[in-house]
Amino acid sequence: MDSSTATDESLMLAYANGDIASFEVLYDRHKAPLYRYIVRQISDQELAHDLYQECWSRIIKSAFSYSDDAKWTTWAYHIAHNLVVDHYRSFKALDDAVDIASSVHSPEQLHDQQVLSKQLKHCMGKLPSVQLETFILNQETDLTLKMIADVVEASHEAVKTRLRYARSALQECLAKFGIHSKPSSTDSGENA
Amino acid sequence: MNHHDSDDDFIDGLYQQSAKETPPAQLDKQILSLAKLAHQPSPFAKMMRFQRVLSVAAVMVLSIAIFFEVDKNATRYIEQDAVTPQQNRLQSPPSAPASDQIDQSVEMHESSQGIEQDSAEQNPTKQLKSKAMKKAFKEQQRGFMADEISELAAEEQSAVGAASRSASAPSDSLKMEAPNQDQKPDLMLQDIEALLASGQVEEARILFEQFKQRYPKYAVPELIREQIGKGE
Repeated sequence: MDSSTATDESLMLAYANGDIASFEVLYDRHKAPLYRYIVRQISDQELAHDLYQECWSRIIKSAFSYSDDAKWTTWAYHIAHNLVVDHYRSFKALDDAVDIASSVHSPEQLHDQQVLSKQLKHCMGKLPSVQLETFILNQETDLTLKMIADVVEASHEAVKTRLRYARSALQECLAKFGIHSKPSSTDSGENA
Repeated sequence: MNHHDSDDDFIDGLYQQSAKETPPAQLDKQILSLAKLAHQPSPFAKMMRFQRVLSVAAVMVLSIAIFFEVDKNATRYIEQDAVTPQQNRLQSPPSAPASDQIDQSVEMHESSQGIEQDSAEQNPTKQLKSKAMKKAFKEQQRGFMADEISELAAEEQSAVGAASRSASAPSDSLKMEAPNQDQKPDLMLQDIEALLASGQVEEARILFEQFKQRYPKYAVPELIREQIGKGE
């Protein structure tokens, strides 16, 4: 089996049958998104690492009972979602939020990637947890809104609403820092 | 493209550019080793698996052994039951092959005659526990009837009449007598001994008198003589 093109489901089943290499491919493919999904919701990094390790531990233990009825990412992120929900989520503004808010940035600085990232994280930190989770899942995975609804155990409409409000809140927050989206060249004056 | 879509794209783009976090190498190592360990069965698990198979095999062997044992015992009991009645039949006196018929005819005779026998003599039939005692009592009854027959015969000869001739009775008693006459003397002595052992001296004496009439020249054991003599 060509691991690079194999689906997540086939890799998981291969691992369940004893193919360790398939698990290594699967892990390499999803470790970063899953890590960010947990870390960006849990402000405590040590706790986030524990939860991340626990998440993969549960995935490994459940390998023998895994069936390819559901998409692997739906199944794995559902495990991660349950872990995050079960643990304390300390909603804490980023330490450098004050610095960002108080400092005046030149236009050049505003376009600095590092600054932009910090500002985005700051704004994400202000989102309600359910909106933040939905936004991260939408960004980190290729799951449809319906699949995200399965992961977070909410309705499709609820997930749509959460995502819409998350984006709206992020835009408002970024606008305070002077960060706006560039108007599209195809607009016919709607942005005027 | 509307404003909202451009804003969404902007935020998505912003996010993707900022999404640089990756798990530390130490965490990667720990998780991958966990994945390898999960597929290595522990020696304990191997042993448990072997024990499980062994237990199942032991249960099967035991079940089969118990099944055959039960079957063997059942066969043995059936054979014993089959043998025992035969043995009983063999042990019964050969000179009285029609003993059941005789018993029935004795009962019929008594009922037809309406003989009011002594309760002490009738009741022993029900009270006697051993087969020997029952047989002795029946022999006694037959003996009584044999005496009766001889008396009747004498009366006939003296032309008294056939009042007491319950026609079937004499023939039945004659039928009964035939086997009595054929009874071996030693078996009669055994019955006498059995009666003496059970304390029924009177019946033993009656049977002894009959024995003497039939086998006057037969040697009687001293023990019986003494016991009969003590009872007098």
